[in-house]
Amino acid sequence: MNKYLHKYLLRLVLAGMMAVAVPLLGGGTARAEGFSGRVVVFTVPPRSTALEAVAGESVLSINSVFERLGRFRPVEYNRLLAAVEKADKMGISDEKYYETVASLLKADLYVLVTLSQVSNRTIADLRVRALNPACSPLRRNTRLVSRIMKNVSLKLGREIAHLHRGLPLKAPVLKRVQGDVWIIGAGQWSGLEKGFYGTKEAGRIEILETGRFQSVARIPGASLRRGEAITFALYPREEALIAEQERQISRNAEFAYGVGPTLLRGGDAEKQFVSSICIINMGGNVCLPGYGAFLSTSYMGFENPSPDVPGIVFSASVVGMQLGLPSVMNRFKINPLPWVRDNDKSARTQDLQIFLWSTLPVTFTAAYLDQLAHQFHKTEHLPPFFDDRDNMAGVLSLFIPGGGLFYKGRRLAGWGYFVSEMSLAGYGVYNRDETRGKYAFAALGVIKVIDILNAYWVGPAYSFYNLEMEREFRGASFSVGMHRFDDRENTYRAGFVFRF
Amino acid sequence: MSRIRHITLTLILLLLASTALHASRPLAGVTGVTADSPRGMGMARLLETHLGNILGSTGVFDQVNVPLLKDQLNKFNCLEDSCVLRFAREAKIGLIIRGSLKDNGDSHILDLYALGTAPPHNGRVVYRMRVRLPASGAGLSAREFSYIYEEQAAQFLSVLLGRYRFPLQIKKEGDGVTVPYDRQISGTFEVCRFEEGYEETDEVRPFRRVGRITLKGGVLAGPSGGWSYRKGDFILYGRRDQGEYLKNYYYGRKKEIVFEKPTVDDTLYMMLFTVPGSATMPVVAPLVGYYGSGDYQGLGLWAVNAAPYLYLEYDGLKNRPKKYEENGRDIPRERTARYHFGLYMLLAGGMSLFVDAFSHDYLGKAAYYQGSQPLMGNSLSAAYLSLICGGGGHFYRGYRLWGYLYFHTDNLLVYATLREFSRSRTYNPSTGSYDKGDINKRRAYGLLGALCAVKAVEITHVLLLKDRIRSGRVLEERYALEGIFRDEEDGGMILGASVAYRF
Repeated sequence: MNKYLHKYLLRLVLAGMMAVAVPLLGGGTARAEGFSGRVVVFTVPPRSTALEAVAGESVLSINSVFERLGRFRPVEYNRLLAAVEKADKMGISDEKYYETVASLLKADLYVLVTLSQVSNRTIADLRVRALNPACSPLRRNTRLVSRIMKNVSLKLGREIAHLHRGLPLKAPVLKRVQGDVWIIGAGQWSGLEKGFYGTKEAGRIEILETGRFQSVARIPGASLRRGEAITFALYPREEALIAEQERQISRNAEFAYGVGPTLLRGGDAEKQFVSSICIINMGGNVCLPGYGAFLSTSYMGFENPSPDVPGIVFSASVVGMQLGLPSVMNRFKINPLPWVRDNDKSARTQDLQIFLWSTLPVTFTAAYLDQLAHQFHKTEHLPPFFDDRDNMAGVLSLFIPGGGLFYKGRRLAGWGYFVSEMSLAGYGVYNRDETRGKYAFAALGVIKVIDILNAYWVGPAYSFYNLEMEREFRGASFSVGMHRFDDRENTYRAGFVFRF
Repeated sequence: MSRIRHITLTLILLLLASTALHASRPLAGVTGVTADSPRGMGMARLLETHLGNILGSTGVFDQVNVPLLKDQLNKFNCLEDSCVLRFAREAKIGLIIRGSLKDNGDSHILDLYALGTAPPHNGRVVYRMRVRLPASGAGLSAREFSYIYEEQAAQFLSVLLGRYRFPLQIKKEGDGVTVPYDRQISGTFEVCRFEEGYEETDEVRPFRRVGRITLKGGVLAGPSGGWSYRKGDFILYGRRDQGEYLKNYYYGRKKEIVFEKPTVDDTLYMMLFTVPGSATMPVVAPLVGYYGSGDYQGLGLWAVNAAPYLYLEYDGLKNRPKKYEENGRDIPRERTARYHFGLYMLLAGGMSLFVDAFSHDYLGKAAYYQGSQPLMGNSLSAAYLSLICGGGGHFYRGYRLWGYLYFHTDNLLVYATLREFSRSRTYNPSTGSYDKGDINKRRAYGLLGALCAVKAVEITHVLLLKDRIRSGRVLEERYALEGIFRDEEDGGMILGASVAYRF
């Protein structure tokens, strides 16, 4: 046993050393020539057909991001094929292969994507390597995880867009036309337009004319060499692209997890959601306060739903309190019906009673949204209107205390707002003619605004959705395995990996 | 022989064999629309066909055969803009149209753009259009998709033709000069001349303006204003007129397809329906209109925007001045104003939201060629609705934001005007009658004037607008303003703002 343990430890150490050594070597051989602004994107050939498709999409997505942000130009496909052919003849293998191809293409940067699948998750390891020392700050190792294959390429693209944050434009000097007029290797594609720009190397220069990839610039008094890069104080607008990618990732998640495409099989989930709130749930709660909210969730297509008992107990208690509080306050001397005014019932008590009865639909709706949130969490589904979730949450919080928070899966916060707002409103109604009543209404107004804003700004709490939206996977992973070498001895392996 | 030369030679040989080239017309090529799914490929082919057909119908360009061009480029793996541009320059193709169609499940993202190789564009993107289109849906079949993609092609080309300009060489003929083109050019143009020191193969060739000439029928008319001819001089010419024609033609044709022929009867029906529509708006609009058509955004906007006016309407009609009179109570002017405002909302003011609840659905269907919509697309009806209720005409034409803007402005002005014209009435127990208070006539007529002015603007505005029936949703904002706050490596800091213009 000890023998195996030692072997296992030795292998772990070696694996650790390799993990450190490989990246160091990868970036070591830098290209000494000038700045080309080229990038090559590779994917390590995956083992399954499904991953092959993802790999193809990933290359397209990453190239498209480079194209749209205008800092590094993906090399042309025909040139890439020629370089691959040349590298194949050189007989290079493994890590060095990609670096060699990129060097042959005189790229400044290369991107390597490795795809794998663990259970229902697709893992993409993104490595960005610089061949030009000037680009070494762009070096990255990032692991991305998704349960939706279509999102892998988008997440890789988004990561590349993040790579562009604060990246100034570098344009190589191509040739001198005459005097201080030069042709430089950046044009409209990189965001250059006619006019004056500040540069790091040559001060203020004038762009006289632009093409797609080249421009004519007047660079006074600078001694420049061909291939030398000029750095412009011009930065890409990656935010818009990131937002676009995130919208699409979110849309894919909605398509995979939304109740409309899944439980209702393309039915009108929005209509059913509104109907269930306004009609089904009201009826259900009138029959069985609290539990009716749970029963109503079946209308949204959940199969074999299970109730959240604390939520039911709590909402049923709130309903009971709304029906009975004035009676309790008056030691059961008053008529329990709000529209009957007896001698023991003061005007303010009747006001409170009317308020509490008339807001029963609000409690029913909160109870329903709470039960729905439980089902969404448990069955991994997203609510209707999720495409417009922030506005929807804001509108729900406007009408239902804490409604937007329930909608986004934050049940505790939802009940917190519900209790605060209903208490303040009840207190305000009861003390309507007194100063403290007015203070209560003022406080209610403030909390209502906070509730709406909080519902609008806070992110959804659905973990399966957040997995799609998160950037880098930093979760810990545990793995075990067994290998047999030389048909003689078994080596057992256990690993715990935490990325930081 | 390089790949580019190979493609160029093949194409030119085939072009010479198949088409009659007009020397003075620029050459245009559609290099294809790529797609990432089988159904997207079908749509892409449809779009390519429409692009080719419409481009040909304008008569502005000579066209390279689309399948031939695509085949050649694909054969030699010439897929990127940089490669295609090199090829286009060698083959003297002045305009390259490219695009992609990305399948997003329920929608397609169409990205269409055009590269102009010759001056003044120098390979730049002349116009880019990104639009989200439905990929499937009830009522969308091959016929509708064909219409939708034809419309996108026409939209794209109409804007492109408005921007694209191409050089026309000035030729010496005897003592005069001419500008040969397949139509006779008239007008005043700036003469351009390339700067010295550049090669013809350079991607960018700056030029300068060296004078102006006036042409009549393609021939120099009158003095040339100090300019003397030099070989290579050219003018920049565009066919904006064709762009405008395309835009108007396709809009008019779509209206014919998706709306019933507008008649005065439509407006008369709308007049007849004004009172019932306005009176039932609080119930019919949310339930039958917004909820019925699944327009939840409209429902939300209705709830938030209509609530204060519905309350005023309810309060004004419930607590009307007559009730005060019966009890012998003083009648504040607000009470009278609310009552009259309630009547306005009941009889006419509610019509705008009634129209919004239905027109949004009708225009949505019209945008995607879902049958012929009745009562829509009538300018007279739009003007009538703008006259009788706040923002009605704008809602009718599909401009919700403008509609709500006018809805609130009109309602506030109507209420303020009614209030200023209303007199407070104080009950006099000794006579058993009411004493009327004064009104500020100057302010009252001032507000009435403002209301009339707003109405005049509103009606004019609505008559100038087109019905919002464009299919697809344009994705990218063309202009963006953003602040800059960034630390520099040398310890400095950049503060400022930038305006970005996307191509």
